[in-house]
Amino acid sequence: MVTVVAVRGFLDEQWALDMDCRPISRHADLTFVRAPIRAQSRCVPMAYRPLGIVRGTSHTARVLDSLTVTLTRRRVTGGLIVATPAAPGWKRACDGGLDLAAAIEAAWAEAAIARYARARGLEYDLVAHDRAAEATSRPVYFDPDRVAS
Amino acid sequence: MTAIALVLASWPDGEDLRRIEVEMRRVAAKPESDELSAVLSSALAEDIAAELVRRSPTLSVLDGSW
Repeated sequence: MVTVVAVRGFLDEQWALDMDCRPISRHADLTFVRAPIRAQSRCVPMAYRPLGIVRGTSHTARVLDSLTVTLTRRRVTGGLIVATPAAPGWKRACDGGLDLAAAIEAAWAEAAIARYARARGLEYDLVAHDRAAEATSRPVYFDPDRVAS
Repeated sequence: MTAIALVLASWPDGEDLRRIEVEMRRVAAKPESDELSAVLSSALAEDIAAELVRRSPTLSVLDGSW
């Protein structure tokens, strides 16, 4: 079970070679993929270990040749929900044209991350990960007696 | 030059949008396939979103009133 987070700014093309992908531009931003070591609680940030680097987040279609997204209308507040079967469990809500562009951009990046995770033998399923974290996490309460003086 | 082709599995075509599927493909600049709904000369997400908004009467409302 893996959650991947993206941190921009790293530069490495080896992953694209490993993935048999075709980077379009050498100037693309890169995504640093990490997986959680353990989920301590929902209140404490997880510790992450690096898995590798994903290329192509700042511009669309730098990595993947194709991507399918679904646009679903939100019932209550309006707007759209953007999802993609390439990244199960990932969704993003958007309320305008600029938001839609950002969501499409994020969908490409997330699909690349999911593909990278699967290539490394890691399951990318955010829904399953949330359920597992829900089952194992405990709430954290502030205890003044345990504060170091 | 790389272009992005949009393939729309279900297009609302004047109807109220509930759910549409959009396949985005990276293609050559001048594809010869008739199944493509639109071909964009740019691969930027802004252009893709603008094309979707332009083609959809429901998405044409941009001022936060979706």
